[in-house]
Amino acid sequence: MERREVVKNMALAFGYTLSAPALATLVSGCAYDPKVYWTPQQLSKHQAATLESLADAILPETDTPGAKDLGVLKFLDSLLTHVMSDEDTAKFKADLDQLMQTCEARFSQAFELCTPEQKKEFLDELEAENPFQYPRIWGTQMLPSPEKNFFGTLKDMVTWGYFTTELAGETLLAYDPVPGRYTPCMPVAADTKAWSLG
Amino acid sequence: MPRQDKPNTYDAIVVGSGISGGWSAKELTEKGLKTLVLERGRMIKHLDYPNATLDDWDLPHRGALPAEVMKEYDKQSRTGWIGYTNKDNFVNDKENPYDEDKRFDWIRGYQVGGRSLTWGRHTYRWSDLDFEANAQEGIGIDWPIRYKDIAPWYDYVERYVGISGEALGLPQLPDSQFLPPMELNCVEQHLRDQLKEKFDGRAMTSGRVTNLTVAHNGRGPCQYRNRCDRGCPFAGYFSSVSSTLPDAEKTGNLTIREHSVVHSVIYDDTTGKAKGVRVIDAQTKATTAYFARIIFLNASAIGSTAILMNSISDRYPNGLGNESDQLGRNLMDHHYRVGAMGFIDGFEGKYYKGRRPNGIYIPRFRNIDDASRRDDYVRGFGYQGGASRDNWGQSTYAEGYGADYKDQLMKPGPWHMDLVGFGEMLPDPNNRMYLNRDKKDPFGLPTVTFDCEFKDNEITMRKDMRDSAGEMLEQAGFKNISTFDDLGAPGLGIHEMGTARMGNDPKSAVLNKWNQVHGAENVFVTDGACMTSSACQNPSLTYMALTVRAAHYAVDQLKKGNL
Repeated sequence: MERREVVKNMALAFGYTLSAPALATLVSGCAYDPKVYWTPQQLSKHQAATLESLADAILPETDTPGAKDLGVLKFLDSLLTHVMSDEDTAKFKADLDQLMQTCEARFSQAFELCTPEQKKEFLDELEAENPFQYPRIWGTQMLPSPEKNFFGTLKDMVTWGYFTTELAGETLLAYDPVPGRYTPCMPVAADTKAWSLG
Repeated sequence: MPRQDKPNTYDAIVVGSGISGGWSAKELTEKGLKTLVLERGRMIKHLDYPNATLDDWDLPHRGALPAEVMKEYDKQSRTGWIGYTNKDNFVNDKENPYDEDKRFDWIRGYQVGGRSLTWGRHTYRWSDLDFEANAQEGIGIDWPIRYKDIAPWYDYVERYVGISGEALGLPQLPDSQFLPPMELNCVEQHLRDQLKEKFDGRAMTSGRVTNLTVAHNGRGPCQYRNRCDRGCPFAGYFSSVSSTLPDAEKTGNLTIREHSVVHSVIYDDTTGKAKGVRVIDAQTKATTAYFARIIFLNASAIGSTAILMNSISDRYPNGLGNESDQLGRNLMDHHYRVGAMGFIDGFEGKYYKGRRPNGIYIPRFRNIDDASRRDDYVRGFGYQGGASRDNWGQSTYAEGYGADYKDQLMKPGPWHMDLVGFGEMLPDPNNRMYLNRDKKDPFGLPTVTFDCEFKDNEITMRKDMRDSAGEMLEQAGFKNISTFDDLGAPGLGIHEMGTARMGNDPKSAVLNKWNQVHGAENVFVTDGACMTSSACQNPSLTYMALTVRAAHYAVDQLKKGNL
């Protein structure tokens, strides 16, 4: 039922014209009932499952925790609910739905159910679309910055949600809340951690 | 404390408690004057900085402000840096409206300490190159003072404030009384050496800032946390809240009245003097008059001028002291957000420790002598910026995703060097602010409207600012260089100034050479409003020096019975 509502709402709210095969795939997807271990406020279960899988593809578990382990999905849901404007939240969800549809149309299944090879093929293409970006200066965008696609925006959000957790900020990075002095130039090894705080 | 003989009466009233108001308060109280400081915002005492030590994970939404809150800061957030930790030190635009015939970013802080809590802390002296420019080029009017008039007051202020910096001996950027400079990092040192070698000795130095490299007058030193705009519990940088106001309080002569919005100066047509000010209590909306022998307006360039404009009398129907019709005109700022950025190889094995709340400074090198004369524009610019390696912040530009991407974000990113020019803006009578008496603010005061824009000289200068930045990086071996020119609008430099300029002739200037209002000599305006030109250096040091100079003069004149 939930998936059906999503289809209906998307068609109404965003005027998406869904092609017949895509629609068939979506409806058949009803048999698939993703597990979500908490109740998202903004995201449907299917959106949450896909988003979590995307977040983990961006920052996977390695010898350090992945995005899933640090609750990034919950943080994103909270941003959508409490921080982003209604318009931005609607756009985010529409963009996510679009990505979900594109993936399903191509691989006949939800992103999170795709094989690692399929996921890579899909995300490599999205990543390749994104133009080169320059760093921000003083936290603001002084340089002209070509717009990123949804995957590029998602990378920013997931990374922010990950590295601003206490665990990442205090243990995965070099945490030094009160440096006390400035050392302008010191040698570092290749595996040196970056400083935690901006 | 008030004088005992009359109610609501003091020796001096200071309107505003920011960087210049704090200095007025300190000097006047230390000279024995019972002084009332009126601040329109809330009280902040030193150490009352609730967000000073919080990390991102301690903050609601990791420090991001909900969209509906951001909407109330729509103009302040044009800066790009309003967030949970500093928003209370900026005004709520919804509660403090203004209008724009042309876009003007009026960035304000209504609290005790004003913008001295959130300022950029760069402090540079002016030279006669700046004070003489108007007269030599026939632009605006001549400054009524020269470097020799202000130099001793620079010394005086700097010894108290504490300015870290390096002496260079440059005529266009005189040295201050310095504490040890903050050091340049490896890539900045590289650029400095390259500039010296390839650009005929062009100087680059550490930013001269009021962040203390050593403990100074019981404050600091800076702990290299780079969280200045939340307020610093270490008093590691200069703010009124941590220095001038507490010292004024120690004299026993200070009264601070917060939530006090000044309506106007009360002018006595018969004596030709101001008697006091009308104050609206921001919380109760009740109006009270306060009286004093001298009044210092330190409410910021726009704020002080708005008060003068609203001070109407039979003698001055167009605003106090406004015989010249220059009140509100010649509004200036610095134009910036123009320059270049580039990456550099060869320093991968180098990093730094500590979050230095400072960067580099490249002093002006155009139009300083015949050899550097430009025929396409007058005046000049300096650069700020710095070199750094981003932490996970590189996610906004790092390519890829997955395990390698994550690994990359946990290591120091590529070195990049940013150069951001700050250029002089010429005074122009058509660049102005005015009061809209048909639209009142929540206190019933007329609102401010801006009609101001960058003009040809600024626009032409910016091309050179952009190209010169790119050229320096290129010659110094940087790669993947991008130049930029993001004009924005006046105000964004947060160096707004010039709306009540100083000048010897009351027919063309609002203030005289001692910052007294022409025609109301017991009213002094010593904030950015007084500026006759803008130079390209960050202006606060000059406001401080002019304030102290005026305060000492005021006390001297009071003693002589001349005020």
